[in-house]
Amino acid sequence: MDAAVEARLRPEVVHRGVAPGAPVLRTEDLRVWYGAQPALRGVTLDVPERRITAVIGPSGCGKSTLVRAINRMNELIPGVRTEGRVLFRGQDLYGAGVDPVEVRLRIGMVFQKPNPFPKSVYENVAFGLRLHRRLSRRELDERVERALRQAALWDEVKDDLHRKSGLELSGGQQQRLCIARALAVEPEVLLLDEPCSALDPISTARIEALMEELKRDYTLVIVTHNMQQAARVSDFTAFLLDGELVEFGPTEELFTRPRDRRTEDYITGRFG
Amino acid sequence: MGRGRRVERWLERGLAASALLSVGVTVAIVAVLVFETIQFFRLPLDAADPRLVSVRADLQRFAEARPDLVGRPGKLVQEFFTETTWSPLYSTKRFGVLPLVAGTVLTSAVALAVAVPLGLLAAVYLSEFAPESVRARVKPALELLAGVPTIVYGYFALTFVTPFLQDHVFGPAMAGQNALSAGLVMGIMILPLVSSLSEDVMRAVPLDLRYGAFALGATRMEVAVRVVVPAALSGIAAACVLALSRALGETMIVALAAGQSPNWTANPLETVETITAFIVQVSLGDTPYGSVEYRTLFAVGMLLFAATFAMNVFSVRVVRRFRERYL
Amino acid sequence: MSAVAVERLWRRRLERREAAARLFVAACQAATLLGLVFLAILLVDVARDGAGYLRAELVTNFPSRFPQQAGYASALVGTLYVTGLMGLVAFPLGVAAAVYLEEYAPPGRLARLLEVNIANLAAVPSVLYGLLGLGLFVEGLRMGKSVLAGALTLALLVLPLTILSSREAIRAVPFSVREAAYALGATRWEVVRHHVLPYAAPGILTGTILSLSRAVGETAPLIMLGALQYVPFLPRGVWDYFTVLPIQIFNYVSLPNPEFHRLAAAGILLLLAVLLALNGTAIWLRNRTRIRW
Repeated sequence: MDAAVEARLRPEVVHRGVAPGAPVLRTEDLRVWYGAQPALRGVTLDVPERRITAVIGPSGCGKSTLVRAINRMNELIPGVRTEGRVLFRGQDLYGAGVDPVEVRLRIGMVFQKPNPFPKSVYENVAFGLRLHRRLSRRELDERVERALRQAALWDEVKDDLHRKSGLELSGGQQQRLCIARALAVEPEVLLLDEPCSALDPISTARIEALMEELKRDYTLVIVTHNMQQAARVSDFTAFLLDGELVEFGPTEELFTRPRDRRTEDYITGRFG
Repeated sequence: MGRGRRVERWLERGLAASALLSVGVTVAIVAVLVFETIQFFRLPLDAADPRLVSVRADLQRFAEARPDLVGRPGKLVQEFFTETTWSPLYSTKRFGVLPLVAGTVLTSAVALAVAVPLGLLAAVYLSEFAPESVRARVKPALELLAGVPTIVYGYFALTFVTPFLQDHVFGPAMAGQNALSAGLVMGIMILPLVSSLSEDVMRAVPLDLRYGAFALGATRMEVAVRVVVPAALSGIAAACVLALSRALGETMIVALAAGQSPNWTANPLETVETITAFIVQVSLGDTPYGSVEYRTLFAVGMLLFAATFAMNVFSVRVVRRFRERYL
Repeated sequence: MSAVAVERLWRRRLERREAAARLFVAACQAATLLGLVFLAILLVDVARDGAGYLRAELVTNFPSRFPQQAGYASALVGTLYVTGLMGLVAFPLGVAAAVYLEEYAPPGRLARLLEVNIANLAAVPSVLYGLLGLGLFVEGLRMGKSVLAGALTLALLVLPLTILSSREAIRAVPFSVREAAYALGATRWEVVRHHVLPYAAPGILTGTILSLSRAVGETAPLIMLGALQYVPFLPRGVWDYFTVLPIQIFNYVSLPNPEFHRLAAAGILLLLAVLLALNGTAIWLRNRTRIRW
């Protein structure tokens, strides 16, 4: 067993030889209700391995609900009911005996509004690591640095790792810190819920470039209300409307030759 | 129009005066305490004045009991703050306040040892784990604890808790009036102070932070202990300080259950007297205006005021800063 | 270490973490419950002790050396008397101060000072209000140990609470209501008089009753004011000596004869009944008259 694999938090689940682009995550007839209000009405979607999948649609269409259902974040909200299956490498994440803690470790998430903890930059990144594995100071330092480098934040914070609070960073830096925090625990999938909606154009460009980098190692799902962004960064796009999946396909195809009339209306700006 | 305006202006002044009255109350408390405390430390001077001593039996007794203090207020100050015998009501007339301070600290420490852990756990439960329907019912029910008159707690500590602990835990080692029972019951009384205020600040911690931690694979406990509590720490500290201040000033529970004999001890099973219990003890007797006993009331009262006031100022400020940060 | 071993370690750690979490949630639940259980034991204990003395004489008889003949007549009347008088003083002052702070006071140092001051006053130990009353009313203003001195002292004690609760009620009146009235040419006082106060009245009244009930249970400050323990008559005027329920209870608890302890327990039940009536009224008032914005 080589050192690189042993160094992972959970070596046995990584990449099991799935080729990039092959389906790795599948939602099957996924339905979610907020109280009596349906938010997802049966979504079946195949997310390809180590590619960027964009989820677009007008606000209130269920985009966020969909990604939050994938890593079981929805169940933290009282009154939410979920039906259907989410298959990840063949395992139903909603199956009996599956611990949501494990699901969320394997499928990380970055939120719309940057939400760093009111702790130092270092502690922000180390937070997840400390939960999952007892590590020596040196190992911890290494992993924190690696995650910050992956998130292209290292050079900006390396001098002030312990003194600077995550809250003192700029908005764009905060969001990259949140990405580093998520990467530090080595997820296999990273869900990004409108990660740039609170950021300026320059910060947005940096995050988009970063996603391009991350694609080599991670499967990414990004929710965005910005169609240009979806077109720019994603390989595949899913269009959601009123809690239903209207169309899913390679991004270029979906934007140039939409099969569904509603998709066409949306991308040409006729509603939403 | 002109007359209406004038009336309005007078009304406004009246309202402002009512608001300023609260400042007046603070000033009055400080003034009364400071004035009478000075009178206390002037005792040695009054006792050195033959005209006063000839008409005042209590000064006469003071001068006879403590000839060493007559004319030497500095020595009284020193004795007050450094000596460990307090017997102004007895013929020995020693004025070392430390036994009262020790009794006060001891009972309050027991109370905090009960209220802080229980109150924090309850706050975490209500803020992080309890379903909304449970929270809506349990929180006011817990707050009832703070609404029960303290005399009721005093009765309970004296007639139920102490006999219970004597029969089942400590045996005769526990005095009929002791710091432990009083402190335990006082801890329950201030529990809602800790839990309600802590719960308020924990709930003010943004949900986003919790989601961020859950998304990293944290358990419910880890989210509560490693994210919510640290983020709310300043507010929690303020709640605990406020609870401590309440415990220091609590009167009836300790007057009934902790006892009325000043005792320089750290053993919670013994009888102790707190500052407040001493004030009650003196007030129950006959204390003519200006007498030695009357003056001691204010001297120890001043001490209590200074301690609790400092704590309250601290916690009010911390809570406000917390609000500014998150709300 | 093989990958499988690492995985097994991780899983064992996860199990431990989940077990700790379950234990922790249970501990939190237990702590919450403990406070409530304590309250229940207290109430049951008091009720059991005092049940034997729950009879008409409890409220018709005066204090006595003989527990069988002793009652709380003068204490009950004293409590009602002192509380009523205190309300007459604290209510207008508290509401006026609240109106000033919410509607008039320009934001700035003065408002901040007042606010901090009121918050601090609310946390001053009640026994110190007793010393204030003793130094200021009893001796300073030569009121003696009278109903009036007691009521004024308690009024100062509850004033900060009255101000705080009234402010909250006034703040609950939406700003749009004020704007609407100003737009019709109303002066500031007219807005307060005809809009803010009427709409806030239920909240103010509820809050005031609740703060009064706090004073009903107060014992310590009145001991300083010499609320005499043996008062075999009903107070007739504001200059009379008086006693109140908590003081009378305190007196009986301090006596060695256990019969008096039972009498004290019965007195506690009486006191709790008075408090329950006050709080019940406040809640009823709130539910009946609350305006939902």
